[in-house]
Amino acid sequence: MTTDRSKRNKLFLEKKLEEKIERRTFLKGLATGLGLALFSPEKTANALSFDEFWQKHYKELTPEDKKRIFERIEKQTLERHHTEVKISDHRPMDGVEFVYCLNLSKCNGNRKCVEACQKENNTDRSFSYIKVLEMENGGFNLEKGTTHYLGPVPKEGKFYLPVQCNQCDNPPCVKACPVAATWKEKDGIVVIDYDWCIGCRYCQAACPYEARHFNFRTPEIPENEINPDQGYLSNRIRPRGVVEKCTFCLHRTRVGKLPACLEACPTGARKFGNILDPESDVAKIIKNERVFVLKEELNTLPRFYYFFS
Amino acid sequence: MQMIKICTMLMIVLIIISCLFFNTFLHAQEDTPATVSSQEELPNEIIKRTPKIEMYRCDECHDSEESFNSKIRPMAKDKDHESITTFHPEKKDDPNFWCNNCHASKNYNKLILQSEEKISFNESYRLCGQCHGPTLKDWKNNIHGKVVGGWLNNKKQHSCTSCHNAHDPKMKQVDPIPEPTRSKKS
Repeated sequence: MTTDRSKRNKLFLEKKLEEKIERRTFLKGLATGLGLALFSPEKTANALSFDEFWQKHYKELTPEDKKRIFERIEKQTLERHHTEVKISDHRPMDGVEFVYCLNLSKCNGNRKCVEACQKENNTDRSFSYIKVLEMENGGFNLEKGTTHYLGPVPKEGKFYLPVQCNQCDNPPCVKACPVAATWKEKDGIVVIDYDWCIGCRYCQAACPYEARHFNFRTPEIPENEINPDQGYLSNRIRPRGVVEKCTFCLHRTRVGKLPACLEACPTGARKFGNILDPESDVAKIIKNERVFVLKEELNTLPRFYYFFS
Repeated sequence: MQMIKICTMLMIVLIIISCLFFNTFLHAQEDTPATVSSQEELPNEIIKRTPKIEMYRCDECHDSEESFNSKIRPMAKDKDHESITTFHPEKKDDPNFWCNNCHASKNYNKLILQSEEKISFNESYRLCGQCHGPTLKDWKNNIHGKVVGGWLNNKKQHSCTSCHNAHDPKMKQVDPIPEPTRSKKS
């Protein structure tokens, strides 16, 4: 029985191989296929458009390109999420380098920053850029910290360590990216071009602070909570299959506002400012307080300082 | 001849030096203020407290001469003062610690400093800073406290009583916002 079947299969294959596909037929098929793939109208809301497919890297975009792309994204957001949004593209200010300082003596682990970050950055509600670790007093082993604590806080013998993107000056994630979809800007913020990201997750593996997050599914955001003030490189609604992370709310901070997590913090533990200005709050803190960074030995040169005061 | 030259040189030098000293003396006179200004120079605008006090204003009841206490006594434990029971935790049982340590004796809507100066609720940092000096210094440098409005300009600073309960300043435990987790259905 089995030999019969194998013999029959062999014969069939040989016959098929003898039938030659003519060059003309092949080309015709190819052209039709390509045409269908590229020029057919969008069937589903999430299909990749022609314009999107041929879009260049962010650094190569002309102002006209950007205008066209932003209009397209605004249109897509209206279609998909039924919300009017405004895509902005604020560039770094001259003579400004951002630094974040966090007072661990004041942080009480209430997770107001986590909630504010989700709302500001239009993230999926299943995670946040900020992870608040509950740590044992007297130690600094990040492995022993836990994010799964329940109230009331602060608990006796614990301290709370919020961790988010450190915007390193020597960023391992940028080095890991094979397509240069993530890079460091002049004001110290590490950004991602979500349209250029191929979703390989190398950067996520390279980051020692677990600051990056990969969208395994299309982010689910309640429609009435979408933040309409969106930056192309920061909080615009990401598609599925790209990596995202904290950007120090660059759509806010590059126009002089404060990050959303800072404004939400009821304890006043978070401080933000321009390190190049010696009169700024962060410059005074770094000068007068005993600041430290996480995993200093990795030489990532973070821009996120912690201190106890 | 040479003597005259040296003499004139010396004279000129002396005149210059005296001018310099006179100048510094004048400047010093200008720089020293005649009296210590009541409002210190602060870098940021302070967020006002008085517009936020809408309910249970002191002067709703304490409005006449006889409604003010003249002698130290423990606060009446009635329903009007329910929330005002502890003061400072460590001063709870101190018999000398009462309303008039902070409130002006005949006007509870004003605070009173050790210097007998009456100040408004908006300047609470001056009252608290009398004892909490290091914290006041940190607050002025925005190490303690919270500044909102922007990092570049339009900075607005919260005063002590924006965050601390004036009658119970120690921060309490709070219930945290739940940790974001993946919803059950997906």
